Amino acid sequence: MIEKVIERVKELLEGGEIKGFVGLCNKNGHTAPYLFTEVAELDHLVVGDFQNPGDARYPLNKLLIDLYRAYPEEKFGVLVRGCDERGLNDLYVWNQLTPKNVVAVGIPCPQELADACGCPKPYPDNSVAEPIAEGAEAQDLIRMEALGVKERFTQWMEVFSKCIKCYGCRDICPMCFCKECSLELDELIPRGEMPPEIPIFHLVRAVHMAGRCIDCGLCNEACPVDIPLRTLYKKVGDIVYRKFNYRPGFDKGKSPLNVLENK
Amino acid sequence: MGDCHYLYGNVATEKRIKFMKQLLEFVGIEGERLRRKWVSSAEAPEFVEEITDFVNTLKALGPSPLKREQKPDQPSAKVAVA
Amino acid sequence: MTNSVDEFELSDCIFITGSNTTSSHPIVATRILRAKKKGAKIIVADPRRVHIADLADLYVSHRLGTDVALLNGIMYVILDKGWENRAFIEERTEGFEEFEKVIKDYPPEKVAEITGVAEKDIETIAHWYATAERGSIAYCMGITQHTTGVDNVKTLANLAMLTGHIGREGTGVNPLRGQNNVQGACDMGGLPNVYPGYQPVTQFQIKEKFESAWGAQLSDKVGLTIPEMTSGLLEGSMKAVYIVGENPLLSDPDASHVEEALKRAELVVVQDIFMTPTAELAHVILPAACFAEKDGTVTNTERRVMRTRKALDPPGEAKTDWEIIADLSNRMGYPMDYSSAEEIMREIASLTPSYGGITYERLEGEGLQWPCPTKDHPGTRFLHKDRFVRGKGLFHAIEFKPPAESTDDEFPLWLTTGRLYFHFHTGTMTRKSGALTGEIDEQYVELNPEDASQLGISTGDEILLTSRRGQIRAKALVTDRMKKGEVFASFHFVESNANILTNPAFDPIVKIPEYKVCAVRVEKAAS
Ligand code: SF4
Ligand code: SF4
Repeated sequence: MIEKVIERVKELLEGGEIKGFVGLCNKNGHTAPYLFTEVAELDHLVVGDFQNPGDARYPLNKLLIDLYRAYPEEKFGVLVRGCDERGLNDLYVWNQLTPKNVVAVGIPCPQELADACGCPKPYPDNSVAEPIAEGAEAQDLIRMEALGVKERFTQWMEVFSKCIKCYGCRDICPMCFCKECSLELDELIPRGEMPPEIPIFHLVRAVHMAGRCIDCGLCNEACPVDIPLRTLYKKVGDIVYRKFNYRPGFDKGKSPLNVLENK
Repeated sequence: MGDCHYLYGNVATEKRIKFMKQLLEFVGIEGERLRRKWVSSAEAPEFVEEITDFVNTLKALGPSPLKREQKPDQPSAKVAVA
Repeated sequence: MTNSVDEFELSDCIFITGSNTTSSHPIVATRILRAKKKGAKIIVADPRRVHIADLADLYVSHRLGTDVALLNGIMYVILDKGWENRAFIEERTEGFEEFEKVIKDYPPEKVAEITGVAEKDIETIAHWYATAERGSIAYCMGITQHTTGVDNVKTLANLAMLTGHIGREGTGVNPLRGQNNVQGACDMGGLPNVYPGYQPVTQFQIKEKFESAWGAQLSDKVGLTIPEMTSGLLEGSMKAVYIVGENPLLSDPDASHVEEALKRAELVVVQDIFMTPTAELAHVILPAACFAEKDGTVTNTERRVMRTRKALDPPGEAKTDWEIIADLSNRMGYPMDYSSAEEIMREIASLTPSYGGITYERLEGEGLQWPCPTKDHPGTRFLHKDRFVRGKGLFHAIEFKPPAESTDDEFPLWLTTGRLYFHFHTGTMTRKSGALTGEIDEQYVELNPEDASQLGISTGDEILLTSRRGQIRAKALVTDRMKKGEVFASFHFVESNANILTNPAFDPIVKIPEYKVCAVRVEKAAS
C-alpha cells in the first residue's frame, strides 16, 4: 500500500500539482505528521501503522487547515483514511477548506482496524487501492444503550470523574476549528477547576460536535484517562442521523444544527 | 415557528432541545428533566400551567442524579483546584 | 523509580502517598487507572484529598508529617497477621530484628491516635498491599519534602521489603520525579557529593579516574547543599553564586531570607530562558536555549534516557547550557572544546558505568533505561531483580518524629504547599501562557469549611496567611479537600508566595527543606 501512496505523491509533487503533502513520517524511531515538499523525503513516508494498523493516526486535516489559512492560494495533498475523507467533505461544507486547494490521497483500512473503530465505511472513495474491509457495527454503543438509565448514569459519571481537563480531546479533534471555544467560557464551565465540572464539560463539547463529528475516534485515543469518548460521539452522530437524517461527511449540504445560515 | 423575535431563535432551540433530550438520556439523565414550550409574554395562565405541570413531573422523578453526586459539605466553590 | 511506568498496569495493588498523581503525573496516572480497571486495588494516603483520592478504592487522610507513624502502623498489622514475606526477608534482607522491635511499638490504636486514620483503614491497607501478588508504591514530594524525608522514604522501602514487593515486574518503590530531567540532572552529578552515575567525590579511585579523564586537579570534599549556600551567602563565607534554571527566590523556603542572601552576594549569575524574579537580582544574566532549541537527552522518572532534538534556533543571544558552560570554562582557562551534545554523551558513557552502553544511535525511538553498562546491554526495566546494589536489602528501624515546627495559640493551623494542576513550579514558564493563566492566575488558599466558618471566611474572601517567617495575602477557597486544621497554598505566584511562610528546617541527611508542614495563622484581611 505504501508504495502506491508514495508513487501517487511523487507524481503530484513532480508534476507540480501540489506544493506539499501532509502525511506521516517515520524518523528516529518515531512516527509524526510531516509536510513533504521534496520527492527525496518520501522514503520516510508511512501510513501510520506503528505496532498495529492505524495506531499512529494524527489529525492531518487540522494541519491542513493551518496551511490553508497561511497559504490560501496554494494546493496541498493530504493522506486520508475513510474517516479523514468524511472530515474533508465536512470541512468543505464549513468553509474551512476548499476542494480546489486539496488533493486527497486515500488508503483503505484493514478489517482489524475497522472492527476496533466500529467504522461504517473504512475506506475513502478516493483511494490508491480497493477497499479491504467491510463496515463494522459500533459494539460499544450497542452495549451502552442496552443498559438502564441509572446504570448509564453511574458509568458515565465514573469515567467523567477521571477527566483532568487537559483539553486533549478538543485539541486533537480535526473538526474543532472555532477561534473561540465554549469550553473556555467561565460561565459554562468554571475555569481553574480540576477535575472540571462534570458532566457539563463533556456535554458542552458533545453538543458543539453534533452535526460535525465525523467519528474518527482521535479524541478517544488522545484521552489520557481512557474516557470512552468515541462511544459518546457515536451516540451524538446517531442522534443527529435519526432525528435529522444527516450524517456529517456522508450527506451533502450543511448540518441541520448549523442554525446560523439554516433558518 | 420562524416568527420568533430572535429571528430563527426558536428553530434553533427546537433542534437543540430535540438533540439534548436524547443525549441526556444516553448519559443517564432522564430526558423529561428538559422541557421546551412556546409561551408568549401575553399568555400568563399557560405559563403557570406549564410550570406547575413541569414541577409535578420533576417531583415524580425525584431528585436529579446530579444532585446526589454533589457532596453535601462542598460549597459551590469557584475553584476546586486539585 | 525502581520499576517502569507501564508496569503499574501489571500491579494488583497500588499504594499512592504524597502524590497528586492525576494532576502532576497524568501519564503515570493513566497506567494506574488502567490497573484499577483490571481490578487492582488503589490506595491513596494523603493529608489533602487530591483528585486521585476520589478515584481510589480506599482513601485515608493522615495528619501532615505523620507518614512514618502511618507506615509503621501498617507494618505492625502485616507482622501481626503474618502477612510478611518470610522467604524474601531471609534471603534478601538484613536488619530485620532491630526493625521488628521498633514496629512492635506501633499498634493500630496508637497509630490511629497519631495520624487520625481509622484503625480499620490501617488494617485494610495492610491487608490489600501485603496480600497482593504484585504490590507497588508510588510517592512524590509529599513524602520527601519533610525534615523526616529520608526516614519517610526508608520506611516505604521497609514496607516493600517486608512484603517482598520489590525486584519483580509490577512492584517496587517508585518516586515520581517532578521534572522531565530531574533524574538526569542527578544522574549527571548535579548533587554536592557525587560525580555522574552517583560515584562519590570522596573516593580516591573515582577522583583519580575523573582527574585523568579531565586532566585537572579535583577536590575530594563534598560540596554545599542549597540551604548551606543560602546561609553561606548570609554569613559571607560564600561570595558568588551561579544559578542555572532555578528560581530560588520562589522555590526555596523562607523566601525573605533567600532574597537577603542573594542581595549580599558579590556576584549573582543567572542562566535561564526567561527573566525570573531571581534573575532580576542578578549581576549577570545568561540567556539559555529552551528544550526545542537544542539537541541532547533527558532522563525521565523511569531512568529512561531519551533524545531531544533541536527544532528551532535559540532567539537572540541565547545559547544552549553546554555551550555557555564551555564558553565560560574556556575563558577561565580550562579549555572545553566539545563540538556537539553527542560528543559530550560519549564522554558521559566513558566515565559513567550505568550509562556505559548508551550512544545516540541506540537512543533512536524509545530510548534506553539505565543501568545500561555495555553496548549490547538492552537496558534495565526494573531494579533489584536478584540482589540489591549493596547486596542485601537493609531494614531501617525508624521511629516517628513530629514535624520541626509545632502549632500554638498564635499559629494554630498547619500549612502544606504544592502545585496546582494548571501551573508548573514558580510559574516562570506557565504564567506566560494565556491558556493556563486563563484557567487560574492567583493564589487561592484552601481551607476546610469548619475552620473557615469559625474564622468567618468564605470562598473568594481576601485573607492574610502568617507564619513565624512572614505574611502573604491571598484569596480563600473553602473546600472539603482539606481537613480541619490544615490549609494548602501553591508556590506558583510571586505576588503571594507561599515560600515566604515555609520552614527552612531541613532533613539532616539530604537537606531537603520541610515545604510540606509549617504552622500558620489565617485571618480575614481588612478590605
Ligand atoms: S470522533 Fe472525536 S476527534 Fe473525531 S471528529 Fe468526533 S469529536 Fe472530533
Ligand atoms: S482528553 Fe480526556 S482528560 Fe483530557 S479533557 Fe478530554 S475528556 Fe478530559
